[in-house]
Amino acid sequence: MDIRNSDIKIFDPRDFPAYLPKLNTLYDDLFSGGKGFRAKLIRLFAEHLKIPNKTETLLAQTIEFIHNASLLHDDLIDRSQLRRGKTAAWLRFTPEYAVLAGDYLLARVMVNLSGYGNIRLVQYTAEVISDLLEGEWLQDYLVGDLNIELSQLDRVHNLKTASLFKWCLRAPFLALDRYEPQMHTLLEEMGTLLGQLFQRSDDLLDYDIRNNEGKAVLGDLKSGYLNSFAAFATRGLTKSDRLKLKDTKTLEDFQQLLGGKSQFELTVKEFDEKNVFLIQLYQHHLKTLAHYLSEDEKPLLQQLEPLTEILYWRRKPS
Amino acid sequence: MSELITLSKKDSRFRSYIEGTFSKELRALPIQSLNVNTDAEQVTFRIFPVHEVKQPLWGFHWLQILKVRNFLLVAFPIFLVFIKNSLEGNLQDPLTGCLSAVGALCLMTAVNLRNDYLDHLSGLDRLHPQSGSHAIQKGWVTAAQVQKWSFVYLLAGIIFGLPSLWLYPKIILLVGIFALLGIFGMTSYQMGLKYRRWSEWTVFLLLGPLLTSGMQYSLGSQLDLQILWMGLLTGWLSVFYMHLKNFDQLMVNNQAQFQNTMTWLGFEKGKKWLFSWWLLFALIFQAYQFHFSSLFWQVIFLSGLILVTLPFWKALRSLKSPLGSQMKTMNQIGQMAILFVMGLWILQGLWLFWLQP
Repeated sequence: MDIRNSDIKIFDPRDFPAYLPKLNTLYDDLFSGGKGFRAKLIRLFAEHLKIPNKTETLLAQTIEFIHNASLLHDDLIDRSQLRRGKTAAWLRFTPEYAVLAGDYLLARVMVNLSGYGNIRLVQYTAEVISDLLEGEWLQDYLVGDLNIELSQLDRVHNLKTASLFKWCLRAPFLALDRYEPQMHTLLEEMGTLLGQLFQRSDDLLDYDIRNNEGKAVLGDLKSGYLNSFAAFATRGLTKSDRLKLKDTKTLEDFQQLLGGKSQFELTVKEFDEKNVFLIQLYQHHLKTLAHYLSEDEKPLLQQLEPLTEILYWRRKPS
Repeated sequence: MSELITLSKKDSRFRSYIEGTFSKELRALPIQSLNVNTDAEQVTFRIFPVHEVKQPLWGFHWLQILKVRNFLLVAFPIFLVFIKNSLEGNLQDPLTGCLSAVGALCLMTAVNLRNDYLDHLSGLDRLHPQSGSHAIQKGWVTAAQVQKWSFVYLLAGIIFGLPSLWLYPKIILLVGIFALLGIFGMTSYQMGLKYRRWSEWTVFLLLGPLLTSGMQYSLGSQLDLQILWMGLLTGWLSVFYMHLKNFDQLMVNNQAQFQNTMTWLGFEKGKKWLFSWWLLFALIFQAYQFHFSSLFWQVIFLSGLILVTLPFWKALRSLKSPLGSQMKTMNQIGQMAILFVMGLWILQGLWLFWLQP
C-alpha cells in the first residue's frame, strides 16, 4: 500500500498556514523520508472495517502528526544530530523552533480530532500523548544508569513506543463507535506486544544485529543509555565490568565484556528466544480477536499476522 | 512443549485453571491478564507438563514459599521479650512461651500464604510481579496447594497457642484482637491489606505492641513499660520496612492504582516521609536506650544509628526518579539499616545475657 507524502501531511488547510513559512519548511523536511508505517497500519484496518475515507485520512494523519511531534521532541532531548538521514530539526531550525513545531502538531491533532466529534477518541488520543510525554520524562532519568533492568525499560517503552501502536489498533474501532471493553483491552495488549517487539528490534540495531538500514552502531551506549538488549546482555556482569561499559567504544569492546563474540551471539539468541515468546503471545491474541470481528472483517487477521515479522525480524513477510 | 489458552472469568473452567486443579500432569501459569479483578477478566495461561517446571533445591523452594525472610519481623520481637524476661529472672513459664512463639510464627506463615493465594486469585500477583513468594507464578506449587498449607499453618498456630489461652486467659483478649485484625486485613479488603492506605497501622499493631504484650503474658509475666516501648519500636521498624517496599514499587503501584501511603504522597514527599519515619525511629530508639541501657550501649547505638542513617540519607537524596537502579540501591541500604539495628540489638541482648551472673 502506498502512502503519499501529502496524504500524511495535510488534513485541513489550516494545519500548516502559509504565513508560517519556516514551520512549513520544517514540516516538509520532517515528513519526507518517513516510512509511514503507522499510517499504513491504520489503512489496513480502514480497508477491512469499512471506515469512510475521510475518517481514515484523519486517523492516518493523527498518528503521523503525533509520531512526528514525538520525534521532534525526542531528537532534541537525546541531542540526536540526524533524523532520517538529514540534519535533525532542532539543529537546523534551533531547539526553540523544534519544540514549538512539535507542540503545534499536537495542537492540530486535538483541533482536527475534536472537529470529528468522537469524544472517546479525543480522550484516548489525549491519554496516548500524555503517556508519550510521561515515557520521555522517565527515559531521560535513565540516561547514565548502567544498572538498569529490562523490566524497567519495558515500562518506559510501554509508555513511549507501544502507546502509538496501541492507538493504531484501537482508534479505528473507536472511530466506528465500537467500544467493547474486552476487545479494547485485547487490542491494547497486542499494541503493547508490537511496541515492545519493535523497540527491542530497534535496540538490536545498535549492536549491529539485523542492521539492514545501516544504523550507527553503539549510538545508545555511547550516549550513556543502556537499551533493552544491553540491559539484557549485561544482567550478569559484575559491578566493575559494568563500569567498563562507559569506556566501550567499539562493538568488539562490548563483545569482549560479555566474554567474546560467541558469548555475544549466544546472548542474541537468548534475547531472540525471549521475544519469540512475545510473538507467540501476539499470535494467540490474534486468534482471540477473531471472536470480535464479523466474517467480512476477519481477513484483517491475515494482514495483522505478519506484523511481527516486519517489526521484530525486520524482514518482509513471505 | 507449551501451549496457550485464554479463559474468561465466566468460563466454568476458569477457577480450576487459576487454582491449578484442572490436571495432575499439567500446570497452568497465567502469563497475561486482561481486565484484572473485574467480571470481564480474561487470563492467558501457558500450559505445560508438571515435570517441565524448573524446581529449585528443595530447601530453597520452601524458604521462598514460606517467606522465611519475613519471619524475622515476628521472631525479633519475640527474642527481645524472651531476653528481657530472662535478664530480669522473670521467665515464669518458658515452655508455654516457646509454644506461643511457634504459634505466632505459624500464624504469620498462614497469613502470608493466604495473601499469596488471594493475590493469585484476584490477579494482583500478575499486575504486581514483585509481590508474593513467586512460588505460584513459577509453577513450583499450585494456588490450591498454597491455600491448603495456609489452613495447615493456621491450625498449627491455634494449636500451639492453646496452652497460653488455657493458662493465661488475659491474653485471650490480645489474641482475639490479633486474629481479628489479621482476618479483617486478609478478607475484608478487596485488594488485600497491603494495598490500602493506613494499613500500616494494622501492621504496626500486629508486629509491635500486640505481639510483645502477647508474648509477655504467655511467659507468665505482667505487662510493663519496656514491653510496650519494645513493641513501639519493632512495630515502627516493620512499618518502615513496608514503606520501603511500597516506595520502591511506587510507579507500578501508581499505574495499577493501588492505594497506600506512598502512592498518596508521591515521589518527592514519599522520600521525605521515608526519611522522617527512619529518623523518628532512630530518635525513639535512642531515647529507649537512654532510658533502659548503660552509657556504653547508648554510645554504641548512637554511633551505629549515625553510621547507617548517613548512607540512607545520601541514597534518598540522590534519587531522581521512581524508575532506575538507584531505587534498588536505596531499598537495599534501607534494608541493611534495619538489619544492622536488629543485629546490634540482638548483640546487646546476648551480651547482657552472657554477662549475667
